[in-house]
Amino acid sequence: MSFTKPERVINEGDTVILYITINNMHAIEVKSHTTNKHGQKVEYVHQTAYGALKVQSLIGKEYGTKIHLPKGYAFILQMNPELWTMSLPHRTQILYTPDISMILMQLEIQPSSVIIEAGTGSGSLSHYFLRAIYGKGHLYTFDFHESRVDQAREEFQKHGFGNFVTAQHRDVVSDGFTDDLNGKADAIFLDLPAPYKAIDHVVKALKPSGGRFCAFSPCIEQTQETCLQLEKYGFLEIHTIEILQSEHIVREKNIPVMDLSFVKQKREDTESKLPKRDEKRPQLPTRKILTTLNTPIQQGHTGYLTFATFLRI
Amino acid sequence: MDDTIKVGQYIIVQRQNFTKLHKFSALDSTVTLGKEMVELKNIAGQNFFQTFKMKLIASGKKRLHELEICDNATNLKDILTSIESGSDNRNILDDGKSQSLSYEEIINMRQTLSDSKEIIGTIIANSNSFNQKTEFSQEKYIKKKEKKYFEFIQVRKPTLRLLTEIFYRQDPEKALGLRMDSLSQLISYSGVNSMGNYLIYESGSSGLVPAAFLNSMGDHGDARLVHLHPGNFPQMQAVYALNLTDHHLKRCSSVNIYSVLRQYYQGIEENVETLSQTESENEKMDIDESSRKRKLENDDTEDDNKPPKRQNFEEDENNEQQNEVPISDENSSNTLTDREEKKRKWQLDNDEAIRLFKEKFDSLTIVAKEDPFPIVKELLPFIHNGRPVVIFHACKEVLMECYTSLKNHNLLINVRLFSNFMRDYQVLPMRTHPAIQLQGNSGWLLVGYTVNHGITLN
Ligand SMILES: C[S@@+](CC[C@H](N)C(=O)[O-])C[C@H]1O[C@@H](n2cnc3c(N)ncnc32)[C@H](O)[C@@H]1O
Repeated sequence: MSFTKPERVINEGDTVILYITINNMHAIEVKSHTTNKHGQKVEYVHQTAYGALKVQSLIGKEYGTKIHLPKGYAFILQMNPELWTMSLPHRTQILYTPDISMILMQLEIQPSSVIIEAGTGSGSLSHYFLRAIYGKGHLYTFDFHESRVDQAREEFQKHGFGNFVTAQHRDVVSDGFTDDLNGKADAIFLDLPAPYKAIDHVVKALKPSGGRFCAFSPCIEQTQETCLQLEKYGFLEIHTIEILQSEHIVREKNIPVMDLSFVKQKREDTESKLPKRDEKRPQLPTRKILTTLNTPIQQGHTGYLTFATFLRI
Repeated sequence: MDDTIKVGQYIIVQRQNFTKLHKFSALDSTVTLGKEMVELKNIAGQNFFQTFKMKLIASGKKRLHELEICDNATNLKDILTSIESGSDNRNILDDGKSQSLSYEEIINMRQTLSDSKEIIGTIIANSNSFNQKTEFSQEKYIKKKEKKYFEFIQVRKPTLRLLTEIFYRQDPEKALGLRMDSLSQLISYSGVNSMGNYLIYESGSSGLVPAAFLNSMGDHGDARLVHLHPGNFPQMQAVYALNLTDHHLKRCSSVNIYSVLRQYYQGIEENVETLSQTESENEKMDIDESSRKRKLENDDTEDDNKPPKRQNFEEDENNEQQNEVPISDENSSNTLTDREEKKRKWQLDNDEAIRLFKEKFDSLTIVAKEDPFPIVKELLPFIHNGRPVVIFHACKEVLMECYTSLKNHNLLINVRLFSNFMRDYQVLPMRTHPAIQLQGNSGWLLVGYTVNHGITLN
């Protein structure tokens, strides 16, 4: 139940983030026992760079407090969609916070929204939808890969979203989004190889008053085909964008500062300033600056986001 | 999208790519779109997204129009496509006539011909040079003419997406340069949904930040918002534009940051004193605000290769969408009971905010002109441990320094500094490419999580 709302203390069954450093954090499930590779029930001990953590000892601790480890310390953070996206088990390519945030904004997701999504994939995006509609709306999510659907359904349940999501095993291109959903959706999102083949189903499933649509495609050809189909079906406000987020690593640097002015004077007066041939060069004075570096390898592309509005006339 | 237009609501009037936020204050009111004045009475009771045709009823310096509902389904689709793209001109052809129309003839024609297509067709037919133009400039010519004579408008329901777009395109500074991608990420990182208590400090975003929070909180759960601001009145333009119910609006307590913190630490003072104190503290800012009144409308049917228009300082006497949207209707009168009423409301908001300060919040978000570090430092004791903190600023250096200070004081973990690159695409068969221009400033986002930061409060 660890995703749905802010919690003060860690409960058994929560999936939490163990934060050691910015580059070393992982998701763990809080439970007293686990099964080892011989199928025996053993106490759950999580190994970290700073030594072993008895996971049971976390129960009842306040989120955000320091946890002492044999050789250092760590913090426990409550799981949320942003941290989940960074740590979830990848079953497919997934979407990340920058694209996802724009998808929610452009689809005009509100707590009361009824949303259709395909394919579910690893459920990265689904968790953001679920946080946004928790308590009022509903997410219908489809994938034609059965075990992905099962795994996602299990995660949604564990994370406390069970009542607000229906995960179904279905090929949405050939079979659509089920007749029950005709005219029900406020927003539809597709992350499939061929979203353009499902536009007729999209039209059927959007509310009589209309709704918003988004397709994500890494490839421009798919995007092109999608736009053509959207136009054919009379969608309005068809709009394709790309978003890249960069992270800037803040660093203090000491920059050596040279003084060359003394070369203009006669040698005698400056003799002492010049290094002797076999002497080590004196250290230059430095100036402290605050700067940022980009990560050495940057995201160059994720995908094209195509948005559109459907209006029934 | 499913409700109808009512008097008293905010609406977005769209004419091709020209959009304007407007308060539909009375049945017999009008809205001004450039030189056109439009009577609004016929939009009441219609669905949002309805298309209307402007029908000229009086001409003068400003032409007065009334609105007719368009429900002719066959050409409505055409019209709708052209409302946004302005490209329903492929059938306009030059019929080879070479005589030119005089200015008077055109004016006259505007009163006799009813349809913009006919008008533009006639003008083109009478333009000597049209035929000699390249296809590209012919298209540009038609677009320009069409913009001028286009007679259809649509009434849209203000949504967070549309408001963010309108504010940023009209003048990025109006919302501190908070671009849509940055705002969308700010919403994600802050974790706002229908379940928590949220604290924001906002100055100068025209209400876009509290609007985004209220939009994500909805009106069914437990969510509460404390909206700190530095002035006598909060900027609430974007909040009011969302047409939320009173019940929904009550989830937000907008309070002056000095006044609420003073009350938290020192108990209730003489209200009068507190108010005048804050007044002087923020005088400068208020002057700054009012000198920047401008229209909340934008127009991007400009030529693609012209640099984007920066700012629009024009004043419009009929325009209610200026920076100072009245807080409430009582604002105009200033009787003693009114003042007492306001004071009471102000005190209730402060009391509610202090109740939440004592409970502590589930995230802290700062979007401000000011240096955020002194603000963060004072507000962090009111945030639970393990909660997200999100700070937006237009200047990178300010956030770099903030980053260093937060690290040095061990106040947050997982601190990251982000910026964004975003571009639009033209997608057409064999002619797909990124837009020639893009919006270069995304602003900067600093995010992190609170931990045991060692500052204890009673
Ligand atoms: C890239 S993944 C989606 C990732 C997801 N957006 C996330 O953030 O985790 C694409 C998914 O679409 C599914 N898929 C592809 N074609 C489909 C179809 N016709 N019907 C249903 N699912 C389909 C695949 O099985 C795959 O799991």
